[in-house]
Formats: sequence, structure tokens, C-alpha cells
Amino acid sequence: MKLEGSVHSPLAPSELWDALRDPQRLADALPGVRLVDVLDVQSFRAFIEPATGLGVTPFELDVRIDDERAGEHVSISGAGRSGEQLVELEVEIDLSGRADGTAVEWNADVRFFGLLSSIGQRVLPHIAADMIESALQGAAQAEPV
Amino acid sequence: MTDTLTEPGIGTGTSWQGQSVPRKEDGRYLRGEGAFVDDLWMHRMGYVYFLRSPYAHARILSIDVSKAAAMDGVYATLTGEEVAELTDPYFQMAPGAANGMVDYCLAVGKARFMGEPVAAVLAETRELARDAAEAIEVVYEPLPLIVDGVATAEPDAPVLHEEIGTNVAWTGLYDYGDIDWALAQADHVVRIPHMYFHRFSSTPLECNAALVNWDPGTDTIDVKSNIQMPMFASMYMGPALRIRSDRIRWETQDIGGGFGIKITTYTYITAIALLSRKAGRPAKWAETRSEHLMGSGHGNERTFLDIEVPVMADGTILGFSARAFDDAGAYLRYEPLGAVIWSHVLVGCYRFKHVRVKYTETLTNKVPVCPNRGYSRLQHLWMVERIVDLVAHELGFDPVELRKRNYVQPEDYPYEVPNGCVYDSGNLPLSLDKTLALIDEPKWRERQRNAPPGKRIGIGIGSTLDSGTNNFGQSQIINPQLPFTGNGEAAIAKLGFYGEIQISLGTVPQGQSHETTAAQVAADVLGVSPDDVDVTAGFKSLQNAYVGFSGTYASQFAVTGLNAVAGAAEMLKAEILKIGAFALGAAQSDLELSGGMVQVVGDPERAIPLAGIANLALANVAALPDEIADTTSLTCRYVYRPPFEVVDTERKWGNISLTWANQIHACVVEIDEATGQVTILDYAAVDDCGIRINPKIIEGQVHGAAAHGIGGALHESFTYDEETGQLLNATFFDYHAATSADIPHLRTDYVESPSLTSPNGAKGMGEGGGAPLHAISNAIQDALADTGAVVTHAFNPPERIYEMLNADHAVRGVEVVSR
Repeated sequence: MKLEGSVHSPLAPSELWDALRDPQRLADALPGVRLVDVLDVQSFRAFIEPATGLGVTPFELDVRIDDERAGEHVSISGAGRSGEQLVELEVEIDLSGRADGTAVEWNADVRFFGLLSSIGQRVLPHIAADMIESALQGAAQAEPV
Repeated sequence: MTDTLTEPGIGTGTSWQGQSVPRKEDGRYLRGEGAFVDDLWMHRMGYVYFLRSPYAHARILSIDVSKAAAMDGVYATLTGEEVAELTDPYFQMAPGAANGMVDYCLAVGKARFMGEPVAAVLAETRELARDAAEAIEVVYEPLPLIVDGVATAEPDAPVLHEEIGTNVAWTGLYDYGDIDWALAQADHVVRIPHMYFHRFSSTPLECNAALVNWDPGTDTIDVKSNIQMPMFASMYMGPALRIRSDRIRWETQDIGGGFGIKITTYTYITAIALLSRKAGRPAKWAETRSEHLMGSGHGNERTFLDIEVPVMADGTILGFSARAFDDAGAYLRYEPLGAVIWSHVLVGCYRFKHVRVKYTETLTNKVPVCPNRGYSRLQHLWMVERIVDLVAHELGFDPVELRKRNYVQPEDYPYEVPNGCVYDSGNLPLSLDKTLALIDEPKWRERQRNAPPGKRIGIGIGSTLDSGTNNFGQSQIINPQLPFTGNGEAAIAKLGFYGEIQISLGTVPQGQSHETTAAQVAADVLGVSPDDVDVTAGFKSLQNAYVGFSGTYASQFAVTGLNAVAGAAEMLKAEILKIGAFALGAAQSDLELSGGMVQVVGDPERAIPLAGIANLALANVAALPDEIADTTSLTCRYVYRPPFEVVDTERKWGNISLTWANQIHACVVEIDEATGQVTILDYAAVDDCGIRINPKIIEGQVHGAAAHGIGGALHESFTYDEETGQLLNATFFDYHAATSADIPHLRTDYVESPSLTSPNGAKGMGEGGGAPLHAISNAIQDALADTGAVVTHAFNPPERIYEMLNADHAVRGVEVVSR
């Protein structure tokens, strides 16, 4: 599923970038997300529990930074598994400096495999979009370190 | 919910057949005492869960079951690698390259559809089995996939089965008459470039289930299941499991619907048997609804291309030509029989003389297809009925008159169609008149003309056939090497110690009331009431009679099953009379059976009860002369063999079915222009299935078939994501099986044209599920007549209707060339 959106942050691009690149701060900003392990500077593992009307489907998600230009752009890919269900995602995030902060444009390709793709095909786009937006909002509202 | 115009009274007349005898089965169902597979339990039994591929097409790089196997309460695990060691691939009916398809009960090396089982677990509880399955670690390498049933035939499509090297499973040309001549001679040629019949399925109340025990001492496999064609499964499973096929002992009892979908469960039962043997325990599996929808079987999905219809100025349709692509999904588990079964109804209800269909069956990364009510024929019949309707609309003929002009006429029967099938009987014009009378067509035409703003009303007719009793010789049209011809069914009639009459069947009822109708037939032969006849519930291979194609499918019980019952009962009657003649000192010809007695006609004082006959034969046998004792057992097995001949495989010619019931449906729809919503305002069905054994049961099956077809026309369609191959509606949340809330008031009536080929005059029925698809498509077409829209899809949800209402129809889905 193709998703996209935009977020405004009062932070300057460099401050927002620092927040985005800190997995722990991102995890703290997201309800139902727990950072499991920082694997290296480019990758981490998180445990997420997205809730749908049909219940909670916990996922262990491996996330990797594929490409980045500090303060401007980051490409992220992820793959997760929950029993028989799989999720794959690619997210592109672009930051643009504005007088009042930073404009964040994002788009994502999220693919679900297994019964979840059937059960969740109506609700998952909204949940996935909400989670991405929440992560970006959390970073956008973070206090500069 | 229904208007029934004719309701015969019980106990009137001289025959139990023809009366709406109350169903013997209903008592236990209403009391909640039906015995379904998931109600069964065995000591030390475990529960099975199948781990399924999340990918539509992926190489399986590794499977690690160690975590699952180490869990407390897990009895056994099973992987594709083990299956490949323990079993042989199932035999294939396809000829040529596709005959080499390697198909096992679990995916081996590759998964070819989302939902394909890749491993299985047997554990102490259902929940533990599922948790353990989720602990199995499978490493996949996703592969390019294909879900388009036509594009998959292209050389650059991803190949599902490397051992075949192509996704084309079968191709053949059905060519009768001279369609080129007809197209050259016709006053008009109607061309329809593309028509599409979607994937939908049956949704029986009870999903697939089996309780399997592989007994190590006797090396026998006891299978209690709801499979509907067990002997067919034995043919597949015996060689695959490398055991004698008679070591597989089948038992069914109550089954919550089948509709064909429960024929190909043998793959699951094979895996469960292996788990049972490995663990040394009985193993039970009961499929969930989602598993059923994404991993069991779907109905055939068919695309028709390049349809050309030659029509004369007076409306005579000479025939048609077309290309058909049938999407079989990932494996050929009953296929490619569908590639010939459609030709039972080559010309539908019409006197077409010239037909050419180039037929291709393809493989895609989707659930394998299997028989589904109206199997392979409803797709073709929908196309035929659609082209007749489009001819009427495009050339300005009245749809009713055009049908009547082209129908096979009552005086034509027995009517040989161009491929050698012989339609046995019918009166299609009368059936159509009755149908239109039921809906009061003039009333709706008036309302159509005065429809309120924003609303459109359409009236559609669906003429369909239900071919019953397969000649399995048709399989040789697909593959001349297959050793199958004809058909048959068996039954046993017994007289018990106290004169009890018992019938056991070779069939596997799934709700069709076989106990009731078999009792009616036996009661008529033996001069008792159906209440006096006990019909064994379900099928038990150790107890019941059977032949190779025993089972319940292909609309054949009324013919094969009941003629077998009649034959067995006649044999029993002959034995009873032989013993009775001795006991009464009378000639057999002077005896009759009545009221549970053998008596001398005209002398009721000279009589002996059936219990007395049984006593002589079973417990007082020394009192009988040897010539009687040696020739009577009071256990009589009879096999009914339909009068089939070997087919001509070169010409694809022969009588490949025995009876042709017909159903004419009419439907009135209202379309909301703002939303595309279709509402059925009126619906009628007239069924002609020859001599009716039990009208109320027939009416119930007409209701069921109509509901199923309405669901298929408006609500039910499997949707696959083209990029990922994911089935997007594998739950009842998104796959909407029609419920009573979706089904309109049904008006029903009947025509009774006795079959000329079945000894009892009856025809199989219950598969008229296609008629609503035809009728609803045609009603929508009628409602949209002035828009230029052409209904080319069998599935018409509101979004498609809305699109048709608002599309630019400059390029239409139909073209007419007139001379």
C-alpha cells in the first residue's frame, strides 16, 4: 500500500534530524513501541503492537537506514514478522527548512503478507499511516538535546 | 420467503415418491444431535495446525521446527522435506508436460500461493498447535509472481512449476459445425472482445475437517471426515502414501454443506495421516473460515476473449466462437477436468449448430480451483446467456422472443447437440412463461417506464442447465491415457432379524436429504412406509457399498444413487418373495408386498410378516429348501450403471453427461444511480428436474442454489493484490457470503419433464447456481440499456455499476457488423 503525508515541526531541520536519528527517542514517542536493540548505527530492532479493531498484532520489526543526507533526507526500510504474518516497508522522508521550523514530507510503501493482509486490508493503511505520522510528530515535538 | 404454487399432500396417491415426505435427518439436526467431524473425539487425540506461506510465490530456503518441537505438548511436526521423503507426488490427470507436475500435501521447495501449507504441527490442544506453528522459522526467498489468468500464458510470465516449464496446463480446440461458414453467412455478427467470470466459492457452514488415525498394528488409516468424494481421494492418497488404497477407511456422517469444495481435501488428509503415524496418535483438524477461504479451493475463474456471434435477420443465432482462459490456480487437484466439463453445456439451452472454443487452462499464484456448485459449466452458461442477451439488446430483439426462437423446443427431445451430448427432456418455453408469470413481467415493465428520478429498473432472464451424472469418459478428451469411462453408484438393501429394512448408500450426503429420498424409493419397492426404512447416515467404506466414483457431486444422486437404491430394493424384494412363496405355499407371481407383509393377492389371510421371512433366512435356515437357502441372503448389493459409451476423443464427441435439468430464473433489479447499489425487487425460479422425488427438498435446493448465485453475482468475489499476490478478502469481514438479509423473497414453480435416460425419470439438480448470475447480469444490462454500457463481468458490485453509469461509452464492449 502506498501512503504519504506531511508534518510540520517547530524545530530547525538539524534539530529534527537529531531526533529522527535517535531510535530511543522515536520509540519513546510512540505508544505501543518498545526499542529492543540498537544493532548498529544504521539499524535497530523494535517491538511494536499495532492495535486494530480485531485485536493487537505484535510485530518484531528490523529497521535499517538505507540512505541519508543529514538534515534533508532519509530512506528507511523495515521487515517484521508476527507468527505467520509478515510486513515489509520502505519509507522516504524529506525535510525542508522553513522560517517557522521544518516541513516534513513522507511517503511509504508498506506490504503485508499472510492473513493479516486480508484481515487488515481496510484498516491497516490507516494504522500504518498513523504510526508513521506519530513517529514523525513525536520527533517534531521533541525537545532539542 | 417463498411462494410455492404446487404443494402435494402427504399420503395422497399410491407412491411415496413425488411427495414432500418430511426429512428424516431434520430431527437430529433440530435437536442439536447431528454428528459433525469436530464433534468427534478419540482417546490420545491431538490437534493439527497448518503453517501457511505468507508469500504467493517464494522459494523455501529453510524450515527450522526445533523450537516448536521442543514445546511441551507438541506431539509431532511435519515439513515439506519430510513429505517428499515419505510420500510420492499425487498422480496427475493432465497430459503432456503438466502430467509431470509435482504436487505434495505440503509445499516442497517452493510455495506457490499465499496460504499454501508449508509445515504442520500436532499438539495437545488446538491453541498449542497454533502457537507451536508460529514458532517454526521459515526462511523464504520471494519470487516474481503472476495472478492474471491470461497473462500467465505469455512466455515471459514467472513459471510456477519449473518441471513443466510453462503455466499452460492444458489447451484444446472444441470445434463443431462450421463457424467460419456461419460467420460468413450471417446477416449480423456481434463481437464481444472480453468477458470475465470471477472467482468465488462455496461457503459451507462447516469448513473442512478430519479426524485421522493411522493404526500402526494393522497399518490402516481410519479417516472420519467431511470429504464428499472419498473414493476419488483414495485414488490419489493410496499411491502417494505408498499403501493399499483399501487401507484407507472412510467414514462420514453429518456434513454441513459441500457444494464440490470438499472434494479436494485429500491433500490435507494426507498430511494429517502422516502426522498421526509419526506421533502414534489420532490427529484432528478443523479448518477455520479464513483457512477455508485462503487455502481450500475456489471456483473456476474464466476469461473469454474474441467472442463472435453470427445472427440471422430473423434472430436465429447460428452459434459462436471464442477463446477461453480458465485460471486453475497453483495446482491441478481436480483439474483439468474443468477443461472438458464445461462442454456438457456447449450450447446452453439453445439450438446453436456451429461452435468453436479454443480452451486454455492456466496456472497462477492463487488458490487451486476445485469443483464449485455448477462446476465449470456456470461460467460457460453465463457467457452463452450474456451473448444471447447482448444480441437481443444490440439488434433490437425482444429478449423473451429471441430466447424462445433459439431455445431447444419441446418436440426436439431427445436433442443431440453438436458435441454428441443428448439433452434428455425439457420444455424451456413453458418454463420461461411460468417464470415471467411469477414476477408479473408486464407490471415491472410499466414500473420500469415510470421509474423515479435517480432510479433504474431492469428485468433479466437467466436460462441455465444442470447437467447431471458425469460420464468420466470425458476425462479422455483431456488425456486419452486416463483409464476412466462411464460412471456408477452402489447401494445395499438388507432385511434385518425382525424384518427391519436397511439401506446403505455409496453416496456422501452433505445436506441433500439422501436418507429421506432413499427411504421413499425403497418404501415404494418394498411396500412399506419410509418410516419403516432405515438409511445409514453418511458413508462408511467398511459397511457401505461403493464403486470407483462413489460420492456426492455432479448432480447425480437422484439418478445414480436412487436407481441404485431401487435396484437393491428390487433384489431384496425378489428374495423376500422367493422365501414368501415357500412359506405360503404360493407362486411368487401371486404374492405382493404390502404393509410389512408378504401376502397372497386377494387372500389377506395367507400372509407372513417380513420378520417371518427374516427368521427363515437368518435363523431358521434349516427349514428352507437348499435351492432357496443357497440363493438368498437378504443382503443385496446393486450397482446402477448409467448407459454411457466410450467417447470419441479425436472429435471430442459423445454423451458426456446423462441428464440435463434446466432452470429458468427471472430477476427484477433497481439501480440507484447515485451509488450504483443494486437491489433485487423481485425474483422467480422455475426448475425442471424431471420426475420429482420430494418436491420440498427440491425447493430447498432451488433456494440454496439461488442464494449462492445471487451472492456470486453481487457480493462474492476473491480479490488478489496483483503486486503481492495476497488474497485481500479471506474473512467474512471482507468476503461477504450472502445471508438471508441479502436474499429477496423467492417465487418458485416447476415443470416436470421426465428424463428419457434415467429409469426413474428424475434428473440430478441443485447446481442451478449459475442462473442468478445470468439473470442479474442481464437485469443490470436491461437497466442500463440507454447508457451504452455493456455488462462484461459476472460480478457487479456497486462500484462497477457506478463506473458503468458514469463512464464514457464511446468505445463499447460490443461491436455489431451487419450486412
